[in-house]
Amino acid sequence: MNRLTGGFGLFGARKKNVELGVQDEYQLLTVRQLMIRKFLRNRMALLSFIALVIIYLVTLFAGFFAPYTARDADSKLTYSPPMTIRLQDPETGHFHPPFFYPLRGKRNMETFQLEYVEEREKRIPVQFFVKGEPYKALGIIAWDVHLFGSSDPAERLHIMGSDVRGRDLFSRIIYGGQVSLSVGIFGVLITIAVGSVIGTLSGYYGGVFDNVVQRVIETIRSFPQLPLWMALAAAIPPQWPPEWVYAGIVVVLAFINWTGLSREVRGLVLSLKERDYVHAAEASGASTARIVRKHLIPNMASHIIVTATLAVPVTILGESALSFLGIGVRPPMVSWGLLLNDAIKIQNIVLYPWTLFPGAFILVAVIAYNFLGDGLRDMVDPFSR
Amino acid sequence: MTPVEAVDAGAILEIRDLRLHFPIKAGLLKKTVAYVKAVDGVSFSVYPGETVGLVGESGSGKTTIGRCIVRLYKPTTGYIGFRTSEGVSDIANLDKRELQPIRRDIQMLFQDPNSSLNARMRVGDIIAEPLEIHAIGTADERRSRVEDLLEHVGLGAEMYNRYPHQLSGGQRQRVGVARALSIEPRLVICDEPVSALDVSVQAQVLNLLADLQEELGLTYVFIAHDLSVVEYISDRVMVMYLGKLMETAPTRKIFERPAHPYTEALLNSIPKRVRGGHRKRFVLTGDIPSPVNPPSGCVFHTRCQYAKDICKTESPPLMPLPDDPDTSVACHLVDELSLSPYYTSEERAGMETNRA
Ligand SMILES: Nc1ncnc2c1ncn2[C@@H]1O[C@H](COP(=O)(O)OP(=O)(O)O)[C@@H](O)[C@H]1O
Ligand code: SF4
Ligand SMILES: [Mg+2]
Repeated sequence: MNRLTGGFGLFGARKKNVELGVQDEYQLLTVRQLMIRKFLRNRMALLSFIALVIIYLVTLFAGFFAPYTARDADSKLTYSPPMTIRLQDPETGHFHPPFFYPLRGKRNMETFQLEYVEEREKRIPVQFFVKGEPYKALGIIAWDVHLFGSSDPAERLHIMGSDVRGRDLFSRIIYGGQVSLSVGIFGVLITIAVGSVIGTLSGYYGGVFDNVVQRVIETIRSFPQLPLWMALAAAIPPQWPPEWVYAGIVVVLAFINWTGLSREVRGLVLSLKERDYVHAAEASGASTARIVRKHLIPNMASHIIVTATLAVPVTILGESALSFLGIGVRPPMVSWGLLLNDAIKIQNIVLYPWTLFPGAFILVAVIAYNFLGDGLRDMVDPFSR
Repeated sequence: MTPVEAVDAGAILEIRDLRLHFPIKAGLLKKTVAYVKAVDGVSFSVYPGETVGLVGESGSGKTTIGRCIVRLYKPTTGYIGFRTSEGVSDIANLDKRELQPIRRDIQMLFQDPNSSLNARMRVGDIIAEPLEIHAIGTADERRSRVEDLLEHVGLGAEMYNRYPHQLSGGQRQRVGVARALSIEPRLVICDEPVSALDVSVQAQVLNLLADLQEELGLTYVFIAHDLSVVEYISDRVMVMYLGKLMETAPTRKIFERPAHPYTEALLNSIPKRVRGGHRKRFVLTGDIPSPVNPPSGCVFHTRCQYAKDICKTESPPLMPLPDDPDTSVACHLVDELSLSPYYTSEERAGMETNRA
């Protein structure tokens, strides 16, 4: 039965006293425009966002941006310090295109340490778009061009030094970023999926389900986070292949995070379901699915995104901590925490301080995510001016 | 849908002995420790095409009655007979599926348009929502229907793509009106639809509601906490206090010949607009008592200036006046009291000649 046929006649074209509202700029913008405007006003958040985009692009195309692969070793250059890329000859003062001096190791006969000195006679140009080790871009396209590198394959360039096996730290950091940063993303995707579904169900239906879920969450959260992660990570069987271990770590990290998000979503649902627009929909006979889809999700999405954004750095730190302690991802996979494991001994920090570089990357990523999360939080409430 | 025997044959809506007691739960095991008796034995009828005002202080249970009628709440007990072309069905006892067709006939207009419109939806989508829910018409038909409605409530079709924050309070409530009317309901529960609006736009929205009623033959249950609003729009008024009806009467009689002390008190709280003899005025003091433990006997006795001993022990039933069956009053002393009207019939006649 279609009531429209009869209905249209009732609504003639008669215009009622049209009200002219005040229309300042705020009123002319849509919700999305208001949100974007608020976000752009937060400089630190914007900067962090740009920084994160760059970091993710670099790790995504690691093969291109890294001068070497993660496993490429040179036994003659173990624990080499960072090499300087120069434009000026320190002796003559003449300027040249970018170049570096190769390092030569010499055993110090008193300390028996290998000490490196620059070989000033040999000026090796740094070349851009240099052909080097073959790799697979995005894991599929075979290629061998790198953004930069030494023009002489026999003389290696380590801009952030090398590790105990003479592997280029900078390249390993870029490859390690693939693991560290993706653990954050995948962990948070699981967190969002589990946390928002469970949170919505327990907020909307309440009752026994909600009661049980809340007790489970309280139990999980009553443990301190890191020891619980460690206990769970230690339960991952050591004979698993590295990829499985990686997936296992992602799940372990999400295991705690979903509880926080689920609580937040539950609280939102509890408050949103008492809004009159939800009542209006219910009084019109809207199904629960429709209310969730049209009224709850659109009003929660931005909160979920903020919480998720702020959960990414927690996950990155978690992975780093576990890998640093040797119960996270395993070699031959590389991650920032695993790389930092080289600096676990105090004498290494003194002798080879560059092994701390991965820590700087963790710091930058974590801080950038926090600024981004703060910026998004401001954006969530676009109507506050 | 099981047809139910209707007692009041002419009514579109007939409510008998409606109760809604909200359980108060406490403790770890969520045991019910008490009940909020928000609506406690209310009976009334609403006839097609009329506007019935439901008036009482905040907390007296008006919204709860409205939400029972649109079945946002399931009443604890009672009968809500609603007449459709297929007969009368008892809304109070229908399940979700059985309610679905009836929901097209009853809509609710909410108090605060800021919270009754989803900020993330466009005005057009908000108004079209009831049509979508009931799968009425194609998307194009719905759109042109919504544009018609927008014109009709005085907004203009160009508002279709606006968001609620882009409108003024009055405009938002017009969107609320358009949404309530989009599926052509026969009965609209208006829950204080103007009390959240600026005084300057209240009259505009009331006018709009009155015009639409006349045009579309709507029936309104109009909730207000103040008699001055319903004076304008209602044919009959029901005065409610603490979950019970105190007096029901034609609007004019409420103002000219209040029969219940609570009605008198509500009238006294309206600023007087006509010149004339001011009698000593009794003003309500204190707050409405808690509906968890309502006063014994007549629920109004704790604040009634006429209360006698019988009022504390016996609850007066709502009874038609012997000389005026249109008026029903729940008061032991109804025959003895002579209450002060808001205006006398002469004053009213004077106002009418002034207006003319
Ligand atoms: N969902 C609810 N749960 C518990 N108590 C409620 C609920 N809704 C209303 N009440 C209580 O019922 C009483 C009547 O409320 P309400 O119907 O909103 O009154 P009114 O609309 O006349 O102001 C109030 O005491 C209120 O606190
Ligand atoms: S019954 Fe008694 S207490 Fe109640 S309104 Fe009448 S006079 Fe007042
Ligand atoms: Mg109310």
